[in-house]
Amino acid sequence: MKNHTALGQTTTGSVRQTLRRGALALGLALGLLSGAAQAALHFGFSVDFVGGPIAGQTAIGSIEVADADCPAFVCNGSFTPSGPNNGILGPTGTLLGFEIVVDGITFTAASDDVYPDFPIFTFDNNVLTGIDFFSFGPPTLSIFANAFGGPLTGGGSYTNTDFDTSLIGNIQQLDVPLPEPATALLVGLGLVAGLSASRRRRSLR
Amino acid sequence: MERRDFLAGAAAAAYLVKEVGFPAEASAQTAPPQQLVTSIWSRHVQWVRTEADTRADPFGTGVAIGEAILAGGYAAVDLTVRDGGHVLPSQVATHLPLMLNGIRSTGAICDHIGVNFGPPADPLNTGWIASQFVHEILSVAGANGIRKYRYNNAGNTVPSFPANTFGQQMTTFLDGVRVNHRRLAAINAQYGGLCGVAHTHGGNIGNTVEPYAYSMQGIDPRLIGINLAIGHVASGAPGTAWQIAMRRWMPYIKCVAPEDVAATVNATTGALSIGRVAPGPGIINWTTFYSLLRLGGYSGAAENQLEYGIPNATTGANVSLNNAAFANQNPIANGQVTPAMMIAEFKRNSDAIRARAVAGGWTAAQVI
Repeated sequence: MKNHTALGQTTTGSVRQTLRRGALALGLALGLLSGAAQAALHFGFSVDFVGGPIAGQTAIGSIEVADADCPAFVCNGSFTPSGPNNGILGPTGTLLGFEIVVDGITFTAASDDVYPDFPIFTFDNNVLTGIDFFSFGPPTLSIFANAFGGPLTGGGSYTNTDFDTSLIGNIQQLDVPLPEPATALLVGLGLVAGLSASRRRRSLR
Repeated sequence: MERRDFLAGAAAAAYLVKEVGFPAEASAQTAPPQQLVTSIWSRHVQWVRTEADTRADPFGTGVAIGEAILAGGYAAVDLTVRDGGHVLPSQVATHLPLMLNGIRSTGAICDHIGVNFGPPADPLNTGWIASQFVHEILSVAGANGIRKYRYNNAGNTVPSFPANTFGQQMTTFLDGVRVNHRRLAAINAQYGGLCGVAHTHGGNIGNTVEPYAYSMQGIDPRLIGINLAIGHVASGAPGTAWQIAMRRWMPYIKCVAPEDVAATVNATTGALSIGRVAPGPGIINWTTFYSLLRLGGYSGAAENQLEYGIPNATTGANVSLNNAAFANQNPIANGQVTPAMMIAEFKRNSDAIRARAVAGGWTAAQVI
């Protein structure tokens, strides 16, 4: 029984060591990968169409911002595609992506008629307080909203290639940002590594 | 009609349909009472101090401004923050807060400033933001209780249609202005939701209102709007055209500048001339003007600018009030215009605002 236990402990220790090495290698690999591509935080928002040919539809939009610009995953200030040195708004965060599908048409940040100076999205402690997106198309999509200390209000319109215009009514933020999977994995691995190191130090005492 | 024109027009129309809905949404929260605030453009109050004293003592100058405009019957003043103005752009950080404190210490309101920003028509031009001190001025203004500012005041920075351009060329020109209006709106949002109001300067793209509105389409009118200088607009569009412009673009009108204009006909040629005059008979139906403001939901300043002439104090010859003179400059320095004369003109104009607004259906309590 003792031998078996001893054998078992030895086996377990070996497996742990192998796991640690694997986790280290994976962490290094992911670290290298994340160095090459910025990690992002994701926000979702919706716009309701209240008039025109697509009245009653709701379009879901997504925004990705650089998590390096959001300490502790909390975003504040303006985010534009061209990053902190665009020279227009002064210091800003980086907008990594934007997409919204309206009536089967996909609009991205690059669809804005003044990209990369625009679009601009503004956050106050992760609350979406400003949207400025305007694509001259055709088709045309404008979305604009501001909070100014109150609820997000604004509007805009979508005009399709048949020149039918639909009006945007309510604009709502759908969620608070969550780290993307790679970021979450890195954070998780950091915790595992920390725990592991702590146990190791404890076992060496 | 060009496809782009059609799309742009459709987008603008759609936007405005939506925009007209804003007051109802706002009233569901806490609708501020509709008010008309009697105000004056501070270039007509620069005579309260010499230029040197204004630079040396911004607080004391602010007190003098506040006392002068209150004596003239106004509740508020729109402070010049520009070269040759009450506050120089290069001194805004130190002088603007002090001057505002001085003005407000008298009980006068000052939540408007006037600047010389001129968003250009070249969409690639962002240099104006730095050269015109946009961030420097608006960051200080936003942090010191300023809610609106008028821009496109100076002829040399205000976009005007190039000569011999037509149709699509003019549309493209306005598209370029719109890009820079978006940039200015984004900066306004950054500093707490300031509203820039583009002055309908006599020779610029806003003189007939419609092109201004086109250059603002898709932009939140809480951030970019129009300062309707009705004297300028009605000079170019007398009769009923100014009334239609007011109604059509009311959601964008965030400040108005009442000013009397009167017409004369050359006896020989029959040519019509329209010039600025003291409050009195003229081509603007003021009852209609104030009635349209009231019915259109306008709430904000009625800001006088005094650009007519009066008999001077020394010879009785005509002297123009269309200046920005400090006490050390003519016509103040040479005694042709005295401080007492200026206060009397203030009173004459502020009284006119009150009487005409009441005739247009505003209650006396709504006109402050």
